[in-house]
Amino acid sequence: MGKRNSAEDAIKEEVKLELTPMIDVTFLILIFFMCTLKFKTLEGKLVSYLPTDKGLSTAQAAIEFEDAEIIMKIPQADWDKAPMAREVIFLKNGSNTPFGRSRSMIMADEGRTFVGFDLDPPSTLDDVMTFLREVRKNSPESKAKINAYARTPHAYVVHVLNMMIEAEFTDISYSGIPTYLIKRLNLPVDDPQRIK
Amino acid sequence: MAKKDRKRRSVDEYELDINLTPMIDVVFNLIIFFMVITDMTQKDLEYLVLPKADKADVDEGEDKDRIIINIVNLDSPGNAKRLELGELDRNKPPIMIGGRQVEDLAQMRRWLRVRANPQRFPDVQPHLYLGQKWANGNKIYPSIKPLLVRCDHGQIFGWVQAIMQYCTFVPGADQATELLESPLIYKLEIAVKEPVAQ
Repeated sequence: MGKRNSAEDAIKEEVKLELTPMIDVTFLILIFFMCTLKFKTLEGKLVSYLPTDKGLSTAQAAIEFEDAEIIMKIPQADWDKAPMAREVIFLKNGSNTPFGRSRSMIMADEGRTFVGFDLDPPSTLDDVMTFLREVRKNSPESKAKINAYARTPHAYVVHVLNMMIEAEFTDISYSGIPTYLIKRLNLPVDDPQRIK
Repeated sequence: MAKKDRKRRSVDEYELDINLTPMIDVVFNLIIFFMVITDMTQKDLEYLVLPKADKADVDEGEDKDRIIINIVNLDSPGNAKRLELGELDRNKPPIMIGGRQVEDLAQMRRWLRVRANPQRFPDVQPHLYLGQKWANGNKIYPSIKPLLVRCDHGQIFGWVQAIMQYCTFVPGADQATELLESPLIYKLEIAVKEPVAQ
């Protein structure tokens, strides 16, 4: 009699899922994903290809007369300043022909900072642009080269690169320290701050 | 008495049951939503001020395989706290890979070599063939993965230059070692601010 009763009880007993821990875990996962959520930020990019014959030749490609090379230097007096407070000297085609100097200016605009070019003489970057356009017009085969010294702020290099694209150059290269020089002179490649 | 007992029992039996099924449905849907829209490729992006360039292409981030390197500005106000906490160190290069600052450029090069895995795709991009051979006669091909360099606008160009050089060059090594140890990356992307549509 008692046996039959317990069997009946077992049938009557409902199978209950313990939902509380599952909900705990689920909420934790939910909170994790909500916290790590970072909306996709849209950016721009400038694509370039590094030379593939690296390591084969140690000769530095000479800049041709019809090509455009922009050299960016920082005067020694500005080496200890913050990068964006430095003066940048623009030179062309391996010469000492200066375009002039450019000083960057960080302007505050509604809490955001952006870079402007406060020019002295005011036409400096326009001169660079005119030079690039002229070279491109005179020979359609011409190449462009950026020769920026290590201490140049990145914003200037990108600005010049952008001007070269605007002048419709398709072959743009950067000059670095030639590898044979690094090997021979044991230059401190580990520390760009020390490369003048 | 009997009447009172019956009444109490009926109240006890009347359990307040919350129906959890719809709530679980909603929560699971939310989890799936967040899992889908969380882009794990964004974890490599450090906060920094990118330079402006209006002639740039819009970066869709279509290549999931690409390698991302950040060059942060240690003097920017956003990094003051991280310098204090020791996450960033002024004595190390300001280069961040996967949220961590690299110890030196040699470590960066080794890491890039592992990520770039240059000899794995032998039949792709034959025009980039280097013309070199391994000791066992296999040819060496460069990596097909692009490298995205995100450099703060106020950082010096020297670090970008160093990365460009380390993509193909091992200081102090002979040519054979260079081919074995350098990342052999040839496609480089420089991140800029999103160009405004004209």
